[in-house]
Amino acid sequence: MKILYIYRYLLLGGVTTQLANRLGFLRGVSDPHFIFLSDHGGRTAFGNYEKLKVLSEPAPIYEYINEHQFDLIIAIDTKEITDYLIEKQCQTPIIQEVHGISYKLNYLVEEDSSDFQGYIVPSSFSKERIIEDYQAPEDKTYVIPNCLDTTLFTPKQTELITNKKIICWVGKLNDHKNWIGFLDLAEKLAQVRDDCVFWIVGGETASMKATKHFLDEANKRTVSINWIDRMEYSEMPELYSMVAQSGGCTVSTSKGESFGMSLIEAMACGCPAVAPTVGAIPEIYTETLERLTYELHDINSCATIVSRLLDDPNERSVQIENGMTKVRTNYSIERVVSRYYELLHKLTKTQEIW
Amino acid sequence: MLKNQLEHLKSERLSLPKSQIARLKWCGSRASGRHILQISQSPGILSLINKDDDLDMVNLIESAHNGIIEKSFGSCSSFWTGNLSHDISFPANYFDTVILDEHLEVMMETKVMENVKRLLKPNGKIILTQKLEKALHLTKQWTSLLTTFEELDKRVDSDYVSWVGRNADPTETEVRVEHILSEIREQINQTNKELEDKIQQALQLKKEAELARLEEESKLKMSIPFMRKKQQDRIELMELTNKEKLELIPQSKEVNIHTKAIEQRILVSKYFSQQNVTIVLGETEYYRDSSLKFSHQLTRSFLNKESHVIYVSTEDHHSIQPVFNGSTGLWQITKKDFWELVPFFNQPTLVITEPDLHLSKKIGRLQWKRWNIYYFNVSSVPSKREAHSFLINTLSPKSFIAGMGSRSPFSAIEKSRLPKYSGNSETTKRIVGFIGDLDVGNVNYNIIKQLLVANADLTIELIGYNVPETKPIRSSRLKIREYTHYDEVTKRIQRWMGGIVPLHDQGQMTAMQLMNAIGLPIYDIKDWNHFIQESAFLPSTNTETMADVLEQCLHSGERGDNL
Repeated sequence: MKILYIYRYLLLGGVTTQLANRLGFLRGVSDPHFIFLSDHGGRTAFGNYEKLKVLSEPAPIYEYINEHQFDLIIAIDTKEITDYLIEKQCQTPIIQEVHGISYKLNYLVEEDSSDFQGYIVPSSFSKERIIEDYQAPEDKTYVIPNCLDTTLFTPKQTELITNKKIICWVGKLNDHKNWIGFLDLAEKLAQVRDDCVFWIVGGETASMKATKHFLDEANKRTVSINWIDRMEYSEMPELYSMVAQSGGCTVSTSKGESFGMSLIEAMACGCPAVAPTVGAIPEIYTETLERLTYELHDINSCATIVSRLLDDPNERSVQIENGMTKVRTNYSIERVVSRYYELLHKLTKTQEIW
Repeated sequence: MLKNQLEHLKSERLSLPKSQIARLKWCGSRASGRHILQISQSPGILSLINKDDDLDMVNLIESAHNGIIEKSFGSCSSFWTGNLSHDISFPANYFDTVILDEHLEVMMETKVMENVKRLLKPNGKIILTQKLEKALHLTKQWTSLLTTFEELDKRVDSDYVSWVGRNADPTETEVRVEHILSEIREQINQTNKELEDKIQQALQLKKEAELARLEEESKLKMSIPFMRKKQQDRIELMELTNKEKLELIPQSKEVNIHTKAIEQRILVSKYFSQQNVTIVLGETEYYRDSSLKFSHQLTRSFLNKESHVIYVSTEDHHSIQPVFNGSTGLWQITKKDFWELVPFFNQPTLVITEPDLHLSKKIGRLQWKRWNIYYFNVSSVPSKREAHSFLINTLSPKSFIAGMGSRSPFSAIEKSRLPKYSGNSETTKRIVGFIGDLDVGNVNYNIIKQLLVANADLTIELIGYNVPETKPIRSSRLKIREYTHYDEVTKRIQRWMGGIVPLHDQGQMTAMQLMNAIGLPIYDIKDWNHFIQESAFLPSTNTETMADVLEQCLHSGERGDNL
């Protein structure tokens, strides 16, 4: 089976990581090709895989498709290319893979769902959203969760740089990720206990204005915040492991997640992750893990959950164990990608019957 | 007199090049007879022949006036002035030899030729020597010479043409003229060619040496990313062939990036193999030991503690070249370079003296890399308040020294290097002063004016840096001096009655501590419009020295200890 992936940015980010994870499995059983519209230096994620092109114009992409006779095209949030292909009456079936969060998906409204072979989304939450908001056909919308390289994300031995428990927040410094929520939580926790330090990881790309806003807010509060503005993807397992080892946890205050990748990454490293019940997060937090979720903006219950994780060794070990099991059984590359490949197979076969 | 002259000539001869001496000897040896006339401005050839006391040598110096100029020249030589185109007061057929030392140009006029022919005995010799370049253009003179005298001999060396003739009728004149001119031409060409070859050779040697040096330098500079661009631009400007340029610039960019990273690691690790590296994030460029800037003094004190210091100045680009001074252990880089080099530093000690947003943002990254970070809050900076308070209040406070404003930065440098005030020695003049940043943004010149108006006999002396370009107050009683050396400051402040702190609100504390450290009493001035009260001094504060604090910080044992 010849598959072509089209995505906008070749950079070291979430989607590229997913594609690279899939490549490891797919290259053994099929012939995957990748086209990116612009290069921001993410090529290393793909090793030296040669069937990877950076083409910014639709016409050469169309030529490339004609030349290679693909069985399937999977377009990830790249409207301008799919529009062109449909206009040119491209014969290869196209699948829309939807990774963005709601406000980025408005382009789906303009599209005619009959042009596509199907939609792939990472969570049931996303599926509901695109069915309800963008009238995608339910029977042609499939849920394939993101996968995680569990060989990279495992508990690691680290040398602690603090003797306190680390409460860590990971994300970009934007309103959607709700970093102010974490500052509130930190202030609240700092009032009742002095055995914690609060880390914010991420925000290198934040503008000067956003940086100033952040420092202002941090200065307003009587709590000390440690800000690590950038951390390499390969360093993340070490970060989560250190947080786990210190006896702390990660906390998400996000206002919406289409999947919740950072939570899964933390869990895989044996670090408990507290999260609000927004977006796709409840799909991950089943059974005992549910105890780690709280209502968004309910800082009090969040603080209670964190305190319990920090003080109750039993609860802590149960949550860590269950989290790791959850990730290994549901989100490891082998599990997810083999399911994914089956789906692609099914979709191309449907085409043959037509 | 002549003896002296000859001595002098001998010594002068010594300084002549060998080829010149050979020429003069050649000419001299061809002179014969007792009476010799030399037409020259100097007694060159004459002096060589002048070994025989019996010789009657006449040196004719070209001049409009006739006559002998120095009788006392002795029996064997006399100096005359005269002009060959006029009558010369010597009998006909008097001279055995006539020497023309660089005077070929006179041999054109008929009168001159006649004169020479008359003075010279039949078959008497005429010797001529002339610079090549000049001789080449004197075709007419050669022709008239060769049509008058018979050629006996000639010699062409690298610089001169020498010619000997006889007072007799010549033959084959034209051929001979052509001959001698072509010989001169040939010689000039040959000389030029030799010279050219020599120059080329020297240039080639120099170029090779320079290329070798450039290659070395290039290798080194290409390994540092911020230097690479500069170096490439520089090579692009050089007068080299493309091939030579390529040799200096590593060919493939891809490969370059790869090897560069390794070389840089080696470079930095080499630097770090020397123990005790401290990075100071300072203010402006550090180029003077006696600077009053806090970060500069801090750098100096670290260097005095025999630590290796990387000084990072606030400039994005250096106005001076990046400084690496191996002997003092100081390496100066820009902020931009610093952020580029960050991944290569191996857990150094970082000392921050300037709060800024950019730094506040990235400091966590360095802590994650387990750097030892110390923050010195020298003075509060309102415009950078967020960064400042974030740095001192919120970032892992245990590895920070917060609130350093309460300590005197000036005593960071050795006590012996501080100016010392030992009391007012002169009482005739009333002088008060201030030492520190004299920028108009720092010093309140308005209150200085008020003070000057209120105290008619008072002189105010300001010593420091950031001296305003134009004097803010036009008064002879205000003296502003740039800080040069502590010795000089020590000398000046002895005449002061005490110090004043005429500042806007910020930085007063630091300035006062500086004065305290020097030992200057500070006037407690509540109203600048009033007369200075003689004994109204502020109580001096007993400050802990920076050196002590530093010692504490740097050796406080494990990370995470309370300071």
